[in-house]
Amino acid sequence: MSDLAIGLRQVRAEQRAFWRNRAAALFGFGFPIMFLLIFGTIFNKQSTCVDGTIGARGQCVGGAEVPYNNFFVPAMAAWGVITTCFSNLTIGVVNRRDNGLLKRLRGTPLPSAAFVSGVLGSALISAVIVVALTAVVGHLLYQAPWPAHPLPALVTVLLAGLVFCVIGLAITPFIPNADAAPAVVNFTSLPILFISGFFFNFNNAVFADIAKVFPIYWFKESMLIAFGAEPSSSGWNGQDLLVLLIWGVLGLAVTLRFFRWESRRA
Amino acid sequence: MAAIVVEELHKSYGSLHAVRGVSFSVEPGEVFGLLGPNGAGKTTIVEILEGYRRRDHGRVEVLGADPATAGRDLRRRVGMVLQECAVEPYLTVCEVVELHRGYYPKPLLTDDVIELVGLEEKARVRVKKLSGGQQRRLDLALALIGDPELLFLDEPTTGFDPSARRNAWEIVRGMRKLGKTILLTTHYMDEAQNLTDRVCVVSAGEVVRIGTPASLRAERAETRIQFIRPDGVSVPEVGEVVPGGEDGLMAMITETPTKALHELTAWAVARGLELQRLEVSQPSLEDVYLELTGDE
Repeated sequence: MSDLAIGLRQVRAEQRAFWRNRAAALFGFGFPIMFLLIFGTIFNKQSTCVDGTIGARGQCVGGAEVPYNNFFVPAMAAWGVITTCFSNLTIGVVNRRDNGLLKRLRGTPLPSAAFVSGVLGSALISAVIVVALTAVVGHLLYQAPWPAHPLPALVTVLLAGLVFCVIGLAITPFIPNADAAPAVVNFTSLPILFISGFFFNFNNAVFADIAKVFPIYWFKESMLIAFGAEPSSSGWNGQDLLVLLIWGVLGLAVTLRFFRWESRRA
Repeated sequence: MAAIVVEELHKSYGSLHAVRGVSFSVEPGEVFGLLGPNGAGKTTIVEILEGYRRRDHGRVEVLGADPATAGRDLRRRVGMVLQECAVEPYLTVCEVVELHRGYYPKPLLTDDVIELVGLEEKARVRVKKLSGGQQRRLDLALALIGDPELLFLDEPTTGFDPSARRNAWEIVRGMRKLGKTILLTTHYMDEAQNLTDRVCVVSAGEVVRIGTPASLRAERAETRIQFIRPDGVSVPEVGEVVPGGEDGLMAMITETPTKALHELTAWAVARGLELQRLEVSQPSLEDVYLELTGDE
């Protein structure tokens, strides 16, 4: 069997295990969809300011005033990618490192690259599904438009998904054990999610500057553009994707240097 | 050419010198047992041979290759049962074996291997739902699916019930008949005695003895004679009196069992006594092992 075929079989096995593991499926899909239903309902028909700041009388300065759900659907889709690619993947890999599954695989002729491709490929499939589901729910319940630029949207989701997978792999060596994994992924993603303006636009220059260090902010921006919530002619924004790529390269370097296949018990 | 060669192997973890100059070799087709108490260094030795750990000093060869650098080609020819090693819990037995089957160039058939380890009734059950012993049998199935030349079995029957252990032994004997080389570690002396061609006893990181189970047992020439001590009479000491192990049981060991037994039974017959639970036994491998590893 060729390495490509082995990699594809790994993807299939990972997907099968993912959907049978209700906790993982819920963790990946539950949060973004649940918040879409709550906030989407509360702020339906209201408007929000994207790509600008809110002036003293609440007016949108330098940006565009759009229906809240036009903004919120791509934001929650982005969060879905982060939960499936970063949160779920990290928790899953740390679990498997601690229970010895990774060690077992190292003793078989399965190439490490094929195993990692399986994990990443499966996470990307889940990411595309969560984005599609978010778009459908947003469109049916809240009349949010379909993604204005489908190709940039797909490329952005796949690229960002890959980057968040790699960042997830990169932080696993610093998570001591499986019990700590959910806390670590939530602690590293949720605060950045809030200050990156996933739920509301807000005026806080300090938070905004901090948020701009991290890939989560840039991913949200590129999703707003690709979905058409921010005005753009092409749906592409090179700067957003470049920052994501830089984070991906950093993550890859840390992974290659520090990744562990066994827990540190012995 | 030997299947496994270990020469002057050393390994330390920080200040703990876990393996101290271990040497042995395993011939093709041999079932070789590595015995020793917990912490003796058995698993460290096996994991160096499996390629999981780097040695500090010494020479190691597995199927003619250095496991530290050999990589995928060697792993295609070797099967492993590791200690405490999970399988994807949400896949079924059949799916996991089939997935692993794809990793090897000339694998066995999934159904055959599942039947071999006695999991055919659980083939469609998710791994999560298997008992500890059943998961261990799945471990064995995953080690066998690639039709390996060499098998590493690190405590393969821990957690098995007696019938599952007998079954596992049959599998190992079957592998031996097919000419596979097997290196196994175990705490169970009956397992070593029943399965291995040779054993290597390690204690505190050093080899204390290598030999066939029979030759190890022969090292202790004494025969043990035991019986219930009769009431109200003083029994002649026909051998060295040793602890009987339970109340009322008298035990003696002797290097001249024929003579000792003759004296003892002549004495009893003369008094019209029947010695209850009279038993004459050879030292077991366990006795020798306990003596060698200093646990007695």
